[in-house]
Amino acid sequence: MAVRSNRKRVGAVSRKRVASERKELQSTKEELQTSKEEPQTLNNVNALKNLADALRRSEESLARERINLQTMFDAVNVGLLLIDEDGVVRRVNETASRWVGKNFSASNSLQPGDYLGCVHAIADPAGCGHTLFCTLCPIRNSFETALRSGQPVHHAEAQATFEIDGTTTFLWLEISADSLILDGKQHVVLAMNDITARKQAEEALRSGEARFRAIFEQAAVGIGQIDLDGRILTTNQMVSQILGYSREELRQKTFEEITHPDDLPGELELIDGIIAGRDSSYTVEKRYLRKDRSPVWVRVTSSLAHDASGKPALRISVIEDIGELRKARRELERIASFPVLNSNPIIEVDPDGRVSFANPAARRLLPDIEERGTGHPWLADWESVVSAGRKPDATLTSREVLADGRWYHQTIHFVTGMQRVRIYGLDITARKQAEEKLLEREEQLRIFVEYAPASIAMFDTHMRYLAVSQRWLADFGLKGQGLLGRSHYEVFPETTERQKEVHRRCLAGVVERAAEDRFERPDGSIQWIQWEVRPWRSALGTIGGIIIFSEDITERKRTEEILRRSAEELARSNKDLEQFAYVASHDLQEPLRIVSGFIGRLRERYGSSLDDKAREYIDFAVQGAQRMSQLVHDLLEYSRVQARPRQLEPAKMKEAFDRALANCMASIRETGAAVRCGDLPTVMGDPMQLVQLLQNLIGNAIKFRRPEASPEVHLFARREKDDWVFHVHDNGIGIPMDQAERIFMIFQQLHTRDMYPGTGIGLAICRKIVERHGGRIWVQSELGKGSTFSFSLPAASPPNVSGPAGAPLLEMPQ
Amino acid sequence: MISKTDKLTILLVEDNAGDVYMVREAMVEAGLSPNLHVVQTGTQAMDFLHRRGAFSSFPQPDLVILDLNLPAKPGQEVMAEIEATPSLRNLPIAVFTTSQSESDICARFPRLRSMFALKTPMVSELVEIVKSFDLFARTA
Repeated sequence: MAVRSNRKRVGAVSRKRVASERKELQSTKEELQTSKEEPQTLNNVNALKNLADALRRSEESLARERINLQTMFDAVNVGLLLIDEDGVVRRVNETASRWVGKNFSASNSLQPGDYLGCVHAIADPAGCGHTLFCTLCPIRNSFETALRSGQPVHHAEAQATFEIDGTTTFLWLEISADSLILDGKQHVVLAMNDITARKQAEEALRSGEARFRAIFEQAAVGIGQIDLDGRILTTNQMVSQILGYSREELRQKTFEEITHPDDLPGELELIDGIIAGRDSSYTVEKRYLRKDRSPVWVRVTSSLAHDASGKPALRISVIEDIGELRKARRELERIASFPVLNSNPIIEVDPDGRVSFANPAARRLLPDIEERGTGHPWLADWESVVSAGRKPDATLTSREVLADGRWYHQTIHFVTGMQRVRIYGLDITARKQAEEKLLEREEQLRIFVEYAPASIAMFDTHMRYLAVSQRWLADFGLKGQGLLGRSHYEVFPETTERQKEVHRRCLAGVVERAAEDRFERPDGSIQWIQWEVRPWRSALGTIGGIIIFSEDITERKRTEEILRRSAEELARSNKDLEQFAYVASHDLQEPLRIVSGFIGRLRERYGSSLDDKAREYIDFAVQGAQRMSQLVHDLLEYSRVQARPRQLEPAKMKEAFDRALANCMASIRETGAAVRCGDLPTVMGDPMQLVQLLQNLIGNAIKFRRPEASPEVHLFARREKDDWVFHVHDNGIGIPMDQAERIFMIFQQLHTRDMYPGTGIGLAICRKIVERHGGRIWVQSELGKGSTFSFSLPAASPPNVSGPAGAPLLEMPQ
Repeated sequence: MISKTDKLTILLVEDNAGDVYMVREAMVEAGLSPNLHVVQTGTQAMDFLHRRGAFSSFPQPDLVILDLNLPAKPGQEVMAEIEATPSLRNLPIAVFTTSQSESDICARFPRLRSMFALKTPMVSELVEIVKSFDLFARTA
């Protein structure tokens, strides 16, 4: 087939032909490759030799056949060259021309007459250059050897690269050479056979083995071959790494020598097992002894390799270092022992509630759990637990259960698709009790707040309402709004940063208050609030939040404001009045004194030279001036009562009485009056004014005496609630009760100055003093029998609670 | 120390001519004949004591008789200024005024040497008062 197809293409060399021919060449080579017998090249050389001989013998007769021969010569798939001893190419077939030509094209093909030494076509693997017949090149070698020795040269292999169709092609050539004499000259026939495919197959084979070796060497497990006597034949790098012996050292050892003595008998038995054919392989965890004699845990899997006859030849063992694994396993075992040591109950049950494990704590706390199963409170409501565990991705759930009077928190772990359920219990009885106590206390506080008749709100630490009183809702217009759980700052968005700061401080444990604080509401209205903020504490003593006590004092503030203004006005007008009285009395006194002074002088110096009438005039003028002076003096006294700074202090009335008595001593002596007093208390007052008060009253009692009776005056006191009421009783002339009010007015008199001298200022001053002390003054009297002047003063100490209010504490006068 | 026979120099601070008249008469009746200088206001009194302006050639008085009810600068202010002036602090001052309500004036200026007397229309009383002034100036 090859011949036929080649003949067709003799005269027509084209690129297309090259491509198809290369394909054919390839298939031919494959055929060649499959035959591993006598190299075909040599046959071809022989054929060529015979052909050349025939040519030589009868060139002429063969001339006719020339074309045919040439055709055959060309058609051979082996490159053929006939070269003379000078290296000149005498004949070249198409295949050779293709290979050794500078280029695969007709014009560049090797032609007879070319000098082979000059052809640069074949690169040799030794890298000697690019000359086909360079001295080191196998082709050149083959040519020269054959030329020199006259003997055939077989199977030199040469590697060559060709520029074929612009592509560098790499070929392996097998070269044979033989010499022959043509025309008396020595020639060499070179045959070149393409063995690239075979070389590639060999290469593939070689690299496959290398790969295997690499796998063996670099395996992550140790691999060793041991003969049946236990001698170690080969080992890989990992074995050395595990055992600490070098490969060479291992080759001197037997596996018994490096096996831990305790583990040897067991393994020997296993080896017997595979040799006897009971098992195909075994796996054992054992200890080797490393070079430093330390034991190393390994897992060995061993199987037999048989020879060609099927007899056991050696063992192949795969060795894994399981030191880390064993450590991890031990750790796992240690961890696994935790539930046993745990003092909290831990059980494992199947979905039906059958107990497969109970740790000692569980057995102690739940002794009857196995008999009672899901009837045990520990497994209460078991159906819902199971259904929770059956949900996709369910791994954990937790709940609280009450078992035998104690509370437990259960963590329930669903193991691998509800095959088992582990229940971890934690005794939380103490915590539960504390919680209940907390709630109880909080509840008490809530109730207090809700029913308090004041404006109170209770908050948690986040300023959320826990409780509010009705008054709070009313004061802030929040009735009907659900406040509980809402933030105070949401309810009152206008809360200022200052106020929030107060809340924060109180949440930190401080109590704060304000007697009055101004709040501007969103509608622009002003609310005055008296507030107190204090933290409330849970039963544990921790701050649970704050309680705000507030009182809307807006109305009170308004009233106070009005009161303050009117008080100010009153004070101002009072002051004006006092100023008037004071200044007037000062400024009036001076001219009066001058008038009296000079009239007095007039009478002294010139009285003797005046007549009676003139002296009478002077006397009236003097009396008028004196009266005027007395009025002005009294008015001054009166205004001084008010002008004195109002400073009340505890004052003993007995001391005031004694001093008043001393001041009245002259008139007492004169009239022989008897002035007495009962036990007198301490009151809040201005001591000087109290003396003046008593002095005026006692003085009046003596002054307005009955001519037929010597005056008797008695002072006594009675407690009435927060006040003491004093009574000055006399046996004087008495006062008509319809005049009872008038006598306390300034300059009002009931009698003529001839009978009772004076200006009528005394009682006006008394009333002023008593009123300044926050008390009241009045009179009870019967004409001709006597009068009782009474006045109240605030007590210096709280009332004696043992006595009934209003009961006389002191005896009535005898 | 002023001897019993030495003639006193007295500054009378008084705006009421009637009072001045009566003081002069009382002094005569009491047999006293001091060098009496009269000014009518508190400001003039201070100028006199500091010998300022029109008063530069006047002598330092041995006694000041001071009315409290004075125009412009009341007697209380005069006393405060005297108290605030160390060189004048030892000057005897006789407060001579209308109202009993000022009787605590001396206590209000404890650093000053002062006495208090209430004005009276009675000539006999007034004579006794000017005698007590004289005694006060000589012994204070």
